[in-house]
Amino acid sequence: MVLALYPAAAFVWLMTQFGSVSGGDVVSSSWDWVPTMGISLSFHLDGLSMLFALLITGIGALVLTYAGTYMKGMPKTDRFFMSLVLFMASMLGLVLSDNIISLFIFWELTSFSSYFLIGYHHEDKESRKSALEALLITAGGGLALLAGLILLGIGGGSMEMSELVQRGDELAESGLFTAAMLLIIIGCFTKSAQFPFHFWLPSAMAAPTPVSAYLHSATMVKAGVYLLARVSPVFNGADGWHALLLIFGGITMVLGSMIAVMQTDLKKILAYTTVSALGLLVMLLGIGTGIAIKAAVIFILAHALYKGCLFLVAGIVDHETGSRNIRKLGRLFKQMPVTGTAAVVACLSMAGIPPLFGFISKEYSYESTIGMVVNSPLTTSAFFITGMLFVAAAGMLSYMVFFGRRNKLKIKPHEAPITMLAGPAVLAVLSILLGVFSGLINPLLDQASQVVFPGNEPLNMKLWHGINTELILSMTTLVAGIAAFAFVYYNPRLMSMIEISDKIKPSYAYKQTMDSLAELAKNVTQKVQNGYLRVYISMMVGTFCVLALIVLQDFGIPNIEVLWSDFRVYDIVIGVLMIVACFYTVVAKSRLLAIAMLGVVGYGVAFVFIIFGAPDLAMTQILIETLTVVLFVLVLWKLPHYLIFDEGFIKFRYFLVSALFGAIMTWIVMLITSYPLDSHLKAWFAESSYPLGMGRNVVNVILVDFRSLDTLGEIVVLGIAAVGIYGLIKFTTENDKEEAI
Amino acid sequence: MEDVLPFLIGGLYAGGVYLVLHKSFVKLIIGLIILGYASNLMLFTISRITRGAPPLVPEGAEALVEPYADPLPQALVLTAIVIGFGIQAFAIVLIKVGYRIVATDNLDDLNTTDRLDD
Repeated sequence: MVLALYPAAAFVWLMTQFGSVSGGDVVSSSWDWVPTMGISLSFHLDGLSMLFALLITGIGALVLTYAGTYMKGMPKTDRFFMSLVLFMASMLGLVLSDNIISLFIFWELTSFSSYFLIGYHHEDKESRKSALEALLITAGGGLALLAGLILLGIGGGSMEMSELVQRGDELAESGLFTAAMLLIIIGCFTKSAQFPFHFWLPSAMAAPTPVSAYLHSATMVKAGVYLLARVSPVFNGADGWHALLLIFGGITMVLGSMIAVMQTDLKKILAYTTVSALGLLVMLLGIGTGIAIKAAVIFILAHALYKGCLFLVAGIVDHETGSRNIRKLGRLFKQMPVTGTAAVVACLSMAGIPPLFGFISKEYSYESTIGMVVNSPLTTSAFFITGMLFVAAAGMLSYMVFFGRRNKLKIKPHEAPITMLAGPAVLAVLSILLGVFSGLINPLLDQASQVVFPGNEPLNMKLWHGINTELILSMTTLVAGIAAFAFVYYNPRLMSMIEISDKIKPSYAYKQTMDSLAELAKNVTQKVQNGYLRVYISMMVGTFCVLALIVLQDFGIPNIEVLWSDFRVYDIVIGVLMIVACFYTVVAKSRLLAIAMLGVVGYGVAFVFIIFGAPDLAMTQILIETLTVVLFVLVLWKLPHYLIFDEGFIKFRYFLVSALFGAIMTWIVMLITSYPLDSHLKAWFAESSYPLGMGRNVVNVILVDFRSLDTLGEIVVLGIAAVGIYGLIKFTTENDKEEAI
Repeated sequence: MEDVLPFLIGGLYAGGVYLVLHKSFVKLIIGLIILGYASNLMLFTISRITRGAPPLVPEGAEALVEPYADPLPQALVLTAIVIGFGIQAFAIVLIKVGYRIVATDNLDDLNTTDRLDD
């Protein structure tokens, strides 16, 4: 409730700018962010931004007030309100951003915050699924959008939208025009739930109703429409732009309204009519004439007002009756007069009945479809069908809930508290007010249409245009719509019999894609992470060998010149002995033999150290070798028979890998030693050991003096190992005792 | 011996890796120990070896006189040997404890936490 003050304050501030923005001024401010990449936080308030910003803050304040009551008693409301406010801020940032990168970041933030909002009931599987669906589709489209915006920025030579909209020609010359356009369209279509991406919006109704009212009527889903409108000055006039927007917008519009009247859940009806309305907006932008742009900006406002109101009403009905099924609800008007009135007003606006604001919007839409040069009849009839179904849906939302048949509710509903009524009431009043006194909002909408369509004729909204084609069509729509509603109302059985096969829905394709992706990931993981240590290790060793060979191929094989002058017999004896011992360690059939042979190898290493002037190493090696063998024997003598597995299947392959690895290491050692070594450290330690470290054994001086911190680290490692060993023994014996008890 | 050492190192590496690729836990540890030898010898060898001249400053002298073995790699290898021992000791006890709990020495029976299908 207190939170509502923030958007309310923003709303009030925006209203103070109303006069200047309506006059055509632009308020802007900018902060550098990553200046080297042209990324900045630059904000730009013009007519179009103003229209959206007012909707976001105004409806935001109402929704927060409403949600304060609606969410009372529900768990984790703090989390909910945080996401909601985060969403509000991101949405505001999105519509105010002038820099295309910061716009994209705000765009993605709205996707993320809506993910949390849709998934609010996270213990419900369906809810999680819907949230993920919405996120994957909108964020996936967001990737396309990012690519599109970057191309737009490169092609247009600027990162600021206000500059880019004037550089359409430069973009066309750069050859990136079509690619940028297609990618941006994909991004906008996913966000604004256009066919075939529309299905995430109805599933997103799993969110609490205030969220639906806010995100899915006025803000989030309109982001795509906003961006299309924003870039419209660049792309308007291109062939693909019109065709794509017109076709997909039209399909979405008709499909959405048709599915809407088959629903029985209040929120689903609202969701599908929203899909349809978004289709209409996209279609109007696709028509792209001056009058169509005017119709679009008017409809943005009209739709936000009535749809926001209806969502809030649906929430109230759900909250007070516990049901959203229009077949169960009915005759609630007496118990809920205020809600009912708001709903009826909003539905009248939706149906486009004068003197409400929706009527004006509908007139303009008809005017733009009639005024089209090509395809006018087809588009007009598509809009006629949609308009008719809108009337039917409006009837279902108002008449069937508040009048009509007696309800089948177990409880007796009563009116909602004032905080919940405020939202729908204000929005309903605005629908009437702006319809009758359309001059109030005219300057702003005019500015918005100028932004989308530079040089558009001034807008002059009026309720009464005289009797003309639009009015006649509008009235015919109304009559047909009432007939359609009557059909739905009197044939509930017939309506419920209509079933659409799952297989032709785009959501089925989505599900299939996701399932096969998960299956693929599982298969790949099972192949790669199969749990066999030897596979992992041979992969690593094999990869190392391949990479090493790539590098080593530039070097030749060094000469093997045995220096006979420096040849000693015992060298060869020790070398051969070690190789033989190593071989026996590998092939030993008994554990004791393997350990003994390991000892031989270890002592051999010590001999090498002795021969080459490293007595300290030799001493350490002998000591530790002895300890290891003793430990091995002590710890392992009680184990049963040495496990010799039938490992014929691994033998050859792994033998090859090991042999290759050994050969490469030999090669590397020979290569390195064939180049001269230039070490200053050797001389330095030799000279400084006695004067600085007062020690004659240079190795010891290095260990305990020059590099004593290393030695401390080494001691710590040994200490940790000791603690670990102690823990292993201690921990398991206690466990065994417990088991014994 | 300088020319024999690379082959010795290669042989130890090959044997160590081959042992690590076995199913048996004990062989895995023995393989790791052999890999440790090979690495120590390699480090020792690639920093050049000098026969029979330990880096000890004789009585009365202030510094070493050529020829003498490079003391720095010796210090590094010494550290490596000792740390290697810490790991070996831990691993040996781990075999013992692991065997007592799961009653197997077979690595393929110990991979269930890594499997998706069951």
